[in-house]
Amino acid sequence: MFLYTVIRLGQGALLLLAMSVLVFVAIYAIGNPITMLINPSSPQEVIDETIRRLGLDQPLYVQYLRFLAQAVQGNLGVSYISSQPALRLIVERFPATLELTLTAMTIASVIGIPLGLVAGYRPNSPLGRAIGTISIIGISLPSFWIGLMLITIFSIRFGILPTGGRGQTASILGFESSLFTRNGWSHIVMPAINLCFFPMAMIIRLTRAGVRENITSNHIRYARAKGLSSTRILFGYILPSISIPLITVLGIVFGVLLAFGVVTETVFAWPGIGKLIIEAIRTGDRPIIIAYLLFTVLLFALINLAVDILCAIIDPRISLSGAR
Amino acid sequence: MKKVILRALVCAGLSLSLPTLSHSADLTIGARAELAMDPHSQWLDTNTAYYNHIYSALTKIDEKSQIGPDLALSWQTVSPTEWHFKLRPGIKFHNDEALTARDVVASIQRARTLPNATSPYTGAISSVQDVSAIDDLTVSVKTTRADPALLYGLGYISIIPESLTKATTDSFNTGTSVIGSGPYKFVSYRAGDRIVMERNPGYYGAKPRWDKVMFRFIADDGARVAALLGGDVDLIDFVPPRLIERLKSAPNVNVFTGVSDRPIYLIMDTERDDSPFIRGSNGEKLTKNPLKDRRVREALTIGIDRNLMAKRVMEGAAEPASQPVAPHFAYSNPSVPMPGYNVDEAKKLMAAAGYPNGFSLSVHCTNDRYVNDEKICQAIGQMLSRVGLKMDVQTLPRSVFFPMATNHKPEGRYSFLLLGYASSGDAGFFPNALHSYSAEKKLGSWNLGHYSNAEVDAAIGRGLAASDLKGRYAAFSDAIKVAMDDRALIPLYTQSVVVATKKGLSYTTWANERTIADSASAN
Repeated sequence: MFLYTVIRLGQGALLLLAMSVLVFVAIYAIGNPITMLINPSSPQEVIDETIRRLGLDQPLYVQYLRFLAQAVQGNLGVSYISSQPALRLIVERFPATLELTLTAMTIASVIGIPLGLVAGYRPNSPLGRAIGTISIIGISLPSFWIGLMLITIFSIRFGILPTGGRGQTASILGFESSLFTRNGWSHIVMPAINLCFFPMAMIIRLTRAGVRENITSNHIRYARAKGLSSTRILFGYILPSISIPLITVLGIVFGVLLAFGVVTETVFAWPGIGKLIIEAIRTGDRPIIIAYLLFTVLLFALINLAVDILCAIIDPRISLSGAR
Repeated sequence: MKKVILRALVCAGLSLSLPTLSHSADLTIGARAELAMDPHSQWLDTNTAYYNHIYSALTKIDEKSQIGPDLALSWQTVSPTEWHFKLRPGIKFHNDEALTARDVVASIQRARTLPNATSPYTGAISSVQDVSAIDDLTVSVKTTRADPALLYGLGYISIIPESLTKATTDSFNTGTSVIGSGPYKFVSYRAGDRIVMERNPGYYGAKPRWDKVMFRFIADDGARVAALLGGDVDLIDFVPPRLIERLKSAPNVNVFTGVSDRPIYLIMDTERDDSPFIRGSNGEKLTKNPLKDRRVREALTIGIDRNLMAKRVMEGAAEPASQPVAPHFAYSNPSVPMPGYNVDEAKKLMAAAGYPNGFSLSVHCTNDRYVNDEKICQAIGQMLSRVGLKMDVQTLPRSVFFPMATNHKPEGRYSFLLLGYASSGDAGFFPNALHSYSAEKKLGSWNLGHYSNAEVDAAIGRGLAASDLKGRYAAFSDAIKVAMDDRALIPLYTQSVVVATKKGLSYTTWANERTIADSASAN
């Protein structure tokens, strides 16, 4: 297991390197960012001087090598717009996104897994069909529309929830989170609900399919024959069987929500990394874009590693070192 | 006797409770733009709006973009290249340090030499050669050339204590070094979320209106408007035109509109004979560039209905413009007539110029820089189609548009594009955007069509050499008249500033679109 982890981490590092080249070349191809950042009333000599000072007149490979040299020391560049270190900005804003995504995933799992189990166990009952339909609606509705509807109804019409932003945070055991305050809850409710539709729909459909597949297997038939209750069968036997594909997909969905929950964060003015990246793309803040994409690659690599290890732990049939 | 005692007790009780009756006045603003915490790192007008609250400068601009004294009570030019500024006595920073000329000198030097600034303030004070303190209350500024617009540039330099000028940008980001002498003191800052300030009781100017001011950064237009409608903020800036009617009809909202400094206009390529985005009406290459013919430029100008654009496309949040400078500046020329709207006349002019069947033209605009820029672009495409041109409308994000548009090499640049260049007290539009392009002389870097007219250049040259602002403005006024007669650029409209507040508040808009807490007042 240890060797496996080390090998995977090494692969992750290679992936980061490849990604950094790709991202750098792609952003470089867009052109000189200075004209957009600098005040247009600046005289030409100031513009030229700034280009020179930021090293933007050097050829591509020189700029990339300079970036690489700084990156291995942990310096991923300084934001063009706010002059803050890019990595620090991302790390500072990450807890807000993590908190929102974990809340959304928890809601999605807690509601989605039981619903999916029911839909799979009794697919032709009215409840089963209703669950199937709801899951399709959940995937189809655009999240910015749902978000704006939630704000219009609950914040503007009824005035019971705030229109956006993150609430007050409190610290418990060294972890700071807005989930520990009542004000924080009122701020996180709507964005979390907005964000949970997509993963919930995926969980319902996956669980349902998994149940359908497993319900005909021998050990379930034997359990039915023995007279075990449906609940015991569902939660005790079927759920563990479908947990492998479920966890794998959930890992990917978790990563996607973390890195690209941009729409929800924008609509609800949630100060997370999604809002950060969209602003950076719009303003051409290259260091943030590069740092963010590398961060995302690392995130996905780590999540996938965790998911693989988790699956190996859950299912003793899986061998990490490959089949012998 | 009992009644007297009773009355006395009641009065005593009332007088004790009176202090608690006075309520604290707090203001929460939903702002579109975030700020850079280091006041010398990024020269942007939206940043200066925030710095106006926390810091002072030698001079400051008012809501009509006129310059006036701030820290400097008076100034004089002892020679064309040396200015002396006399400071107000008795000013204290927020940490109770006294403000002297040494702080001013150190701050200006920091602004000129700060490393890693992507939009350095050196651009604002490029003529400054040296700054020194003559005595505790007098600052001497030496310039490389006579610069009557120096006052405007100095208004951008926030003055910080000399003891903090060695501070890194990082310590500003964490808030430890944010000490100014402005009407509000810094309280707290969360990146991407909000900044909080409180009244500075020792402020030397007009008493600050609010006890506490909080700016919440809400970049998304819809979310910002929702925050106002839901009562989470008291005031929002940069109201998008499409939501003005919605806000006007809301019972708990006031909408305030004012004229801004930002004219929007079209630039035409008048240099290249083979312009990449101009083709014949059948797509064939043309031997000469139709935009070089004044009749064609006139046809394009009168083929656009400015009133319709301002009223419908901009939904009233714009004023038709006769020239690409804002009308409230002294260098705009009132004798320049507003272009009419006449499609038949335009078609006749096109035929007279040799294009009876028109030609193909691509118009390029940003879609995320100016208010409704995408819609304006489409409107232009439609209007010019009526004149007989085959129009192709291309809108791009500004991160792609600007590098291409400002590429001065012959194979770069667009042929026909939309731009907004804010007018300012130093009239930078003329040397930067109207003068012909010259890399050596560092002029015309925003003259993106490479329009070149010797008479216009001569007038601008006279303006730059003028010893005072009046002479400069007069020469520039001549320049714009000649340029408009020759249809150098196609003026469209001047954007309006739109701000919305909750009922019970009113707001005086700023021409340079700054959001200033003290311009809001309870009524």
